[in-house]
Amino acid sequence: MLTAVSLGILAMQPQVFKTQTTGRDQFVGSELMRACAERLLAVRRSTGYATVANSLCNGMGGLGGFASNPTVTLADANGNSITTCSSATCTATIIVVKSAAPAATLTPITLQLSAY
Amino acid sequence: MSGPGQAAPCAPRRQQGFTLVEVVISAGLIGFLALTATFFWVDSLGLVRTVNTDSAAIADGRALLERLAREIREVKFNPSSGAYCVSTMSATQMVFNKTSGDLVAACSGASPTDANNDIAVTIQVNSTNLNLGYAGTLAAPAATKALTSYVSSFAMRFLDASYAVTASAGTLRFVELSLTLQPPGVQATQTRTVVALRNE
Repeated sequence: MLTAVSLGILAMQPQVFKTQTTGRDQFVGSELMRACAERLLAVRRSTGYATVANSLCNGMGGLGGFASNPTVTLADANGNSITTCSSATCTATIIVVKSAAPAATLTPITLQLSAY
Repeated sequence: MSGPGQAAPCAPRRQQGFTLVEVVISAGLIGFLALTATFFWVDSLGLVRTVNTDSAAIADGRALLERLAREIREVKFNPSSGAYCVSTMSATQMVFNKTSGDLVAACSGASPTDANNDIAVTIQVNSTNLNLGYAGTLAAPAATKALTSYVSSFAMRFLDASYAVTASAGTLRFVELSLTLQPPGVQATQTRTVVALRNE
């Protein structure tokens, strides 16, 4: 009985660290996502709607287990994938993935951009 | 059989108490249980302490990046020169002005006066401390506060509109902050964020 209880308690400990790791990944990932969004919006504001491209967040990854750059998926008003905002509206979805174990994918954020 | 006048033989007495062997075994078992319980208790305390320190480091990181981003977004833009009022741009130190009143179209450096309406802000890493300081007449008394004392590395990069490194305040548009926090005994938290300057 003692052994069973001991094993139970020992099995609980990694779960505590897993929660910590999840919290850390969310912090690092959300900062990465924010950096990417900040870049997209700054480009939209300073150099114009038509210069918002899906390559703007290249070079931002490479830390804390997030080896890949944030992926920016642009879509036009009809949902078709595009590389640069060109039609009247454009949706930018930012996806951040942690590739190092334990792998994690954060909930993507979506920005709605308009040509005005 | 006992005959008349003979006393009945005594019934054998039941043994009372425990033998020495039983006592020793019991004491050993109790000691083992106490030792095991103590081990789990001490281990749990250590675990709680580690988790708390780790959580505090993550919360520190989140708060200080938010604070720095808020300060950097306020960097003053001087329309006369067409440049942001940043007087020091290095990996470990940034000094800039932010306006506390009506815009005076000039950068006022590290010691602004009332007439400038500016406050000088310094972000600087010093060993394991990340410091934020205010100076100038409007910020009197000047103060420097350590936002955290668990920095294992901190670096700023100054980027232009095309995201290339620049050394000129005239072309500065983004500031990238890379931070690693590591309190003693816990895992390092490495993070990075980018702040876009907005007052142009």
